[in-house]
Amino acid sequence: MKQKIRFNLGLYIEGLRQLRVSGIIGLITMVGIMLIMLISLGEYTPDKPEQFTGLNYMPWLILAFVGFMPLMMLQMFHFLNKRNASDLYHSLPHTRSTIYLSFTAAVVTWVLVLIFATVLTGLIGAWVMPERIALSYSTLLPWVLYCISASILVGGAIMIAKGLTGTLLNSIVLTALILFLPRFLLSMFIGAVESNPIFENSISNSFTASTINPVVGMVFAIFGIDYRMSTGELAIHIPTIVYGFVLGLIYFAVGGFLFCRRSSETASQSAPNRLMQAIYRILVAMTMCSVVIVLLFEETHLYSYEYDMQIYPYVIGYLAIIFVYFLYELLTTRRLKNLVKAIPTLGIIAVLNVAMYFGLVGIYNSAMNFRPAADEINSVTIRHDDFNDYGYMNYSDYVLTKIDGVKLDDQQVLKDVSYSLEQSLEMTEEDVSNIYNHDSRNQMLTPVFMEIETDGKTVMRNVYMTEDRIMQLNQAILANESCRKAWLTPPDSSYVSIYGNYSRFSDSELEAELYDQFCAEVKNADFETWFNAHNNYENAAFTFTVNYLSNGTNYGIDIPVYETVAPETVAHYYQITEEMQKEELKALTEQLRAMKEAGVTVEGNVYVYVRDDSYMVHYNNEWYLNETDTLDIPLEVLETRADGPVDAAGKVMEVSVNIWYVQDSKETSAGPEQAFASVDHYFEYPADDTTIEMLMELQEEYAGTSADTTATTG
Amino acid sequence: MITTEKLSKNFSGFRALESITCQIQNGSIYGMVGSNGAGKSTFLRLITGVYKPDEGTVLIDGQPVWENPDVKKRIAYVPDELYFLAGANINRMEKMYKSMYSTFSVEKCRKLTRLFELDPKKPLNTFSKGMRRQAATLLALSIQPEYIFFDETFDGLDPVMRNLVKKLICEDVLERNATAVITSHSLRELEDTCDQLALLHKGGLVLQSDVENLKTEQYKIQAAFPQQYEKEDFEKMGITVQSFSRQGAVINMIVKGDRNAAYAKLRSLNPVLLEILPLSLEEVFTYEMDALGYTFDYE
Repeated sequence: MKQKIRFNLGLYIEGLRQLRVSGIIGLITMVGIMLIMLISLGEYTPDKPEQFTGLNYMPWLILAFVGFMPLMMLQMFHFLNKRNASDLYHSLPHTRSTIYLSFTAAVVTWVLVLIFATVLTGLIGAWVMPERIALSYSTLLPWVLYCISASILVGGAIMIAKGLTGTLLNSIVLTALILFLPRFLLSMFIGAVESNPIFENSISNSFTASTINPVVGMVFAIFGIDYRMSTGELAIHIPTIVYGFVLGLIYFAVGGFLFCRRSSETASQSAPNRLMQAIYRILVAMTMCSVVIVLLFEETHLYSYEYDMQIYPYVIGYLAIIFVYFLYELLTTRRLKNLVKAIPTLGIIAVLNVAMYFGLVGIYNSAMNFRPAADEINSVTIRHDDFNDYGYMNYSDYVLTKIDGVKLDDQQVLKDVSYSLEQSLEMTEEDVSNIYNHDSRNQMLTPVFMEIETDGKTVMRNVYMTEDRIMQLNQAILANESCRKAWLTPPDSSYVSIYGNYSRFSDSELEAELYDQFCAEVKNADFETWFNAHNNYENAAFTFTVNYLSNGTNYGIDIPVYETVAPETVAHYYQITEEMQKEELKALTEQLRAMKEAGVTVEGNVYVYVRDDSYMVHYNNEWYLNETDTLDIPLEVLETRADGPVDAAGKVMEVSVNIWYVQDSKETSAGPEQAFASVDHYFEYPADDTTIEMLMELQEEYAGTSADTTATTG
Repeated sequence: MITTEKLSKNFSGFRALESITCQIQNGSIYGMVGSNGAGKSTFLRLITGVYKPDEGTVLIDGQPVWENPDVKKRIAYVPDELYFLAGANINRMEKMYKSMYSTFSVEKCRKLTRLFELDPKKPLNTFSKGMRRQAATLLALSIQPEYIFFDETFDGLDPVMRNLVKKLICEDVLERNATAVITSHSLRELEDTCDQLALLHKGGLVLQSDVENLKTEQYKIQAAFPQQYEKEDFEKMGITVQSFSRQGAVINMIVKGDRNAAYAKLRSLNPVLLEILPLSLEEVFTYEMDALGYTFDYE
């Protein structure tokens, strides 16, 4: 009798009730962690609000799909594992589809409650503490959807597993196989092929990459199995979110179909029949076999060794797999005689191993044979590859990211690419690590990540090229108008800091003002001048470090500022720093003079270090301060500085004045009173040869107070 | 009315039920007896829609049971292996049943809980086996079903509770015209409660009859005659002899048929001793099985 698939409120409420304890534990855990984090943020007031993406503001949302969804799903449908429970639920006056839909809805409801309660707590925290928390809302919503998508996927996988087995152990094993095995195998095999540096990050596409699966992608990213995308990029990757949703809904539909067809008597049995049990065994064994196959492939096709290939590690590996194979059968069926019945299936596993190995070899050989001639290549597109998870990007990376690659069809470039690809592949035929050696003309090779388009197909490759070919390539890249324009358009950023010779520049408003000035000025700058200054590592007047959000990950980009590129910005910077230094110097001088007039006793030191722009030391010395008269030393040291602002190309005097103990001579009934605060100042001043001469005279004058008797000039 | 037609069920090649055809009238108490592994529980699971038949049909009032909520809402099932939610007490199970059965009566549940003298707040996993069975029974009765199925229900109950449960079942049958199906491996449990009895053996229905008929249709005759008569002599007289044995001069016969007519015929032979003795149900079943060629032991 065909019944409509109906939702039943009574069953749904009963489901919510049964999950109440787990749900409350989840709420306490997830909301609790959020509150603890907010409290810890509230304990101090930073100079600037700390910037958060959705992921790093509430990473524990991941518990929704790695913890609470599986826990609640297994709990809700626990009755499928016990005969008596199964009988009760299947005797209820509801169709199986109604039971499935209503109970599933209860689980999903609880998981959504956990997620939204945590998010709401976080949002309230961000609203209450805007001076401490700068939350990127554009990354929060995708991260929430990501967690929901991954939860749906996990829940669906569990329901497929529960439809195919009647024990908790097998439910967990099957769920793991459903979630991870396809992607694990893909990653293993693609990873094996991509072990050849030429194919690194080149063979997989957006669908075969583990990053398309929200559960697998996140687990692989966290454990460093797949570096393709950072966790931050993944967390807002819309294709991954959509893929997870769609696949999860498909899994739920399949799980529902299996649930409705599943016979009640399957409860407490590891599999509905012997055939399914055999399939599970094969899957478990093949998961482990894939590791051995990949190792064998690497030894036979990727690397050459000085010694002959050893068989025994593989024998041991396969023996271990056979042991686990039988152990799995024993643990899941608990019948010794089934071990004997499981022997013939080993033959199937052997055949699959052979097929898998030769399949992998075939894929690798196919990639190795892609060696188009120059006239077969339509174009190449130079791209940036491999953002790491450490949050740093150089300016060239930023440019390539911004313009999504530079397309080139210059004939010379295509010839170079064709030749270099052929050469690279030849070098890796015997051993892939040969690519890191010099080529036949004793030149080092550098990889360039590019997309090669032919009539037949478009592939990604790391083409290893000689320096002269890369220079020609760079010229072709720089002739590209989008590339030039991107170079002259620094990233938009609200979070700017400055690193320069005057390192106490920490006024965020001034930093932002200078950056805006720089961005406006550089638009009209000469591209060649800037590009060459950057690539030749010329001395910069100072450096902006800007926070740049790309694909959900915060990157720091260092942007050196050259006087030849942005003279007005540099001049403005020097003007500001000179004023800042003057004010600080005035304050320090007044304090030291007041301390001297008051006749205080002190303990401290003065350290001076004179260097040039290559950090070569020309002078250094340290004076020890212990009585009132020694307060003249820092005053006189400071007077040795040269005029004008610090010059990036000139000498710099670094002065550190520390007075950690000050005892006033004035006494009260309570004892000596300290009227002056301790001193801790660090300055950088312009210096010249006169500075050094004056310092050496000072050193002679106060010879007895020098702590460092190895004061040198250089 | 419950009707099964050639109902069969297999488990991994093992034939648990073989072509069971029977009818259970409304307002009756139907007992099913059989040894361990006979298929009693399987039969009940098929009737209650827990299992799907591999062959044949199960109809209740002409409607199939499998995946039919309209039929299943009129059914309550107390299995042999009980199940309660982890850590639940009677109150908690009451809520669960109430959310799943629209006819569930909280008032009746509480009344029965008091009657059974059970603590509704105490976790069911702290109850004894008998108390758990009482709890399951009262929850099922509180559904106020039209059809109620008990699998080995009296197992674990003390005699007082056993009588109480029987009384409650009978009340439901009488007051609401409910139909009860009770399985047991003990005939004695069913003898004084059921209207109809069926015997299941190795998955097959070997005997099904009205209890009254079973008790009156067969009887034991003890007789002694001046001359020796054999079984065939009595059969020629029109007496159906199921079993015949002689101990010295005394003949023991199990006879089926009209009691008075048989008595009159034997009296005409001028017996020295003639007594008609009733048979217990166990004896009836035993002799029926012998006649059918089955041999098995009762408890």
